[in-house]
Parts: sequence; structure tokens; C-alpha cells
Amino acid sequence: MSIGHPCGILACVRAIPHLQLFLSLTFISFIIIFLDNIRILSLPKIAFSYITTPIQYGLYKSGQTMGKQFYFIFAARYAAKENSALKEQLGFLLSENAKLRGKLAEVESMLSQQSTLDPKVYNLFPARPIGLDRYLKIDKGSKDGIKLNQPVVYRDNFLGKIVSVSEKSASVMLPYDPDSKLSAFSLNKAGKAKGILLGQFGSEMLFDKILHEEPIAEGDLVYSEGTEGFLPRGLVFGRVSEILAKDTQVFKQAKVKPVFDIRDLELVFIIQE
Amino acid sequence: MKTLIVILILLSFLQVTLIPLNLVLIALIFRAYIVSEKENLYLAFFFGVLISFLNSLPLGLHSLIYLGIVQSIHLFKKTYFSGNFLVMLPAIAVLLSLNSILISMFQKSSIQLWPIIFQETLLGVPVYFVLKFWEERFSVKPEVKLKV
Repeated sequence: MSIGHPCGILACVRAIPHLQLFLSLTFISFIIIFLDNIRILSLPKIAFSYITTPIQYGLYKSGQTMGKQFYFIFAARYAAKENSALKEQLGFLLSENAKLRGKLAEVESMLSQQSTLDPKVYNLFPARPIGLDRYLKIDKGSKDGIKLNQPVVYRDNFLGKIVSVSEKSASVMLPYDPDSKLSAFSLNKAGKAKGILLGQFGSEMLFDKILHEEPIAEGDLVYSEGTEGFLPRGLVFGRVSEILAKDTQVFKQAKVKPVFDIRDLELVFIIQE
Repeated sequence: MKTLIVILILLSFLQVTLIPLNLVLIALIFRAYIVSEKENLYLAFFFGVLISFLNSLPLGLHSLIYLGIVQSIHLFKKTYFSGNFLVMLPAIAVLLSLNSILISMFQKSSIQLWPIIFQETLLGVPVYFVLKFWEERFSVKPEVKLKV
């Protein structure tokens, strides 16, 4: 007997259990859906909700109350985890902040440098100070094209000259090193004074061999003459802090202090050519 | 039967307030699997209406779906491989997914099966054993006799 045979279809229908009841209940479900759609069942639904809504509310509130009893356990665990995660994040942020501040200072240095010594005239190479004792150490060396006697500047201020070079670092002799001797001049409204800038131990320089008739006063800036050949003219050495003049001596002197503290610098620049 | 009805009413309220799983449907499926009788269809119909009412859905929607599922279980019970309970688990997962899909389609909401279907399928295991124990509590097991 095949499935297409009427007896086959009847056999299949008989095999379905409780078919009549299933079809009746399905039909009733469709009628209920229809009646609900046309809002006939609204009133019974409202009436029944007076019974079910309080039960639902009671169960829901009970669940909330029970949950609150255990909440503090979960909250404490979560707070502890959150605390350690936040501490870790804070450490990371502080570290990142420090790096960003450093980079910002470097960028600001570069921008201010470009606004003073024209990069079209001078080939400026940036370097970071990595140590300061007698000499200033920088993080660039022969591999980066650094050579002996190259001047190191910051904006239009002379910081020193390269006295030793290794592959990845170099030492800079500062103008207040006792071995430093540079020709210099100062300028004010009254005129110009020429002399030799000698390094003294400490952070002071002595502007020596100034003729008595040449005008110089406290607060005057002292500049490079540029006669040595390795540094350009017009770089600032420092500011006159004290005049030392005795009539019995041929020349007068002046104490010169640097304009800023070298330890505050994030970046310095080497004039390569 | 009275106890089952009370439990199903309690499960209906739990389902719509505290535990967002198809507790009633799981109980009906396993009851239909354990005991294939017409009372299952009545239970599916009436509790479908109750669930639709409590969920603020059109009355009759859940009852249609529940009737279809329970009848499917009755038909499945007649197949050769229905004797193994482990075969039921994937079938239950499919039926529960079908229920979720149909409700989501009606509500025009996104269909989210994971992880609810997984949780409901796993929940079916203890429900099955509890129902089986309850339904067969008065069934006398044939004693094992040794052939001498």
C-alpha cells in the first residue's frame, strides 16, 4: 500500500496520536488569537490581571530582596577586582603621561629652535641630554654624524662644543669649563665691548680683556664673535651679572651667567653645518 | 495531575518574573516524552494561553506553538530512536530554538538563541529525571529473576 493510496493516507492519519484533539485545540487557539485581535477579550484580561499582577509583583520583589542579600558579596568581589584593575590602569596612564610630557617638551623645543636659528641656514640635529658632570653627555654619536668640535646650541644660546665622540654618544664641553676660551662681545645702547670669555669652575664665566673705554653694564647679553670658526656669530653665551673694574688694571672684567639652567633642557641641537 | 498543574502555574510565574527561561515548555516537552497522553495537549493549550497573557502577547500565540511542539514530541516518540534520552537533547534544542525564533518573528525583534537555548537544554536534563521519577513513582519495576 503506497502513501498516495487513500488507505495509505488514512493509515498515516491514524498514526498521528490524538489528531482530533490537536486539531480542535489548534482551531480554538486561532479563534482566541482572532478574538484578542479585535479586543473582545480585553475585559476578561483586565479582570484576570487583578489576580496575576500582584502575584507577579510579589515574586519579583521577593527575588529582588533575595538578590540584595547576596549583593554585597558580589559587590565586594567586584569592587576588589575593579580596584586592582584601576590601579593597573592608573600606573599605565601615569607612565604614558610622563612619556607624552617628555615628547611635548621635545616638540616645543624643536619648534622654538626653528623660530630662532633658521633651519634653512643651519643644519640642526637634535639630541637628548643623558648625563651631566663636567661635560654634558648627549645620546647621539658618530653613527648619527656627530663630529668633534661641532657646536651645541639651544634656540640661539650656545651650550658648548663636542669634545669626545663615541658611536652612540658624545660629550659637550660647556662654556664655563676651565678649558673653554671663546671670543665674545656684548652690546648695549652705549656701544659694544669685546673680550674673551673664560670658563670658571661652577656655572660662571668670566668675560675678560675688556677695554676700560668700552661700555658694558649689568644685564647686558654676551654673544659669540664666531672667530674660532666652529660656531656662528651672534649666539648668546649669557648675561652680565657683575662688573669687575679696577683703575689700576689694564682691562676690566665681567662675570657672566648662562641665561638658563642646562639641566632644564629636554633637547639640544648640534649644528652639523 | 493536580500537583503538576500547580507546579506549572508556579513555573509560569517564575518564568515571567525571575527566571527568563522557557520553564513551562521544557516541563511540557519532557512530560510529553515520558507520558504520551492527550492531557499533554490540554496542558500545552491552557498554559500557552497563560504564558501569552503573562507576557502581554496575543492570547493563543504560545498555545499554538506549544501544541505544535507537544504534538511533535508525540510523533517523535513513535520513532525507532526515541528510546535513547540523549537523542532527545538535540531535538529539544531545535524545538526550543523554533519557539524563540517564532516569538522573535512575531515581536519583530532580533533573534537571540545563545546562550539561552544552551541553558534551557541543560536544564532539561534534571527536569527529565525529576519528571520521570514523579510519573513512574507508582510503576512497579519487574524483578530481576536469576535463571537457575
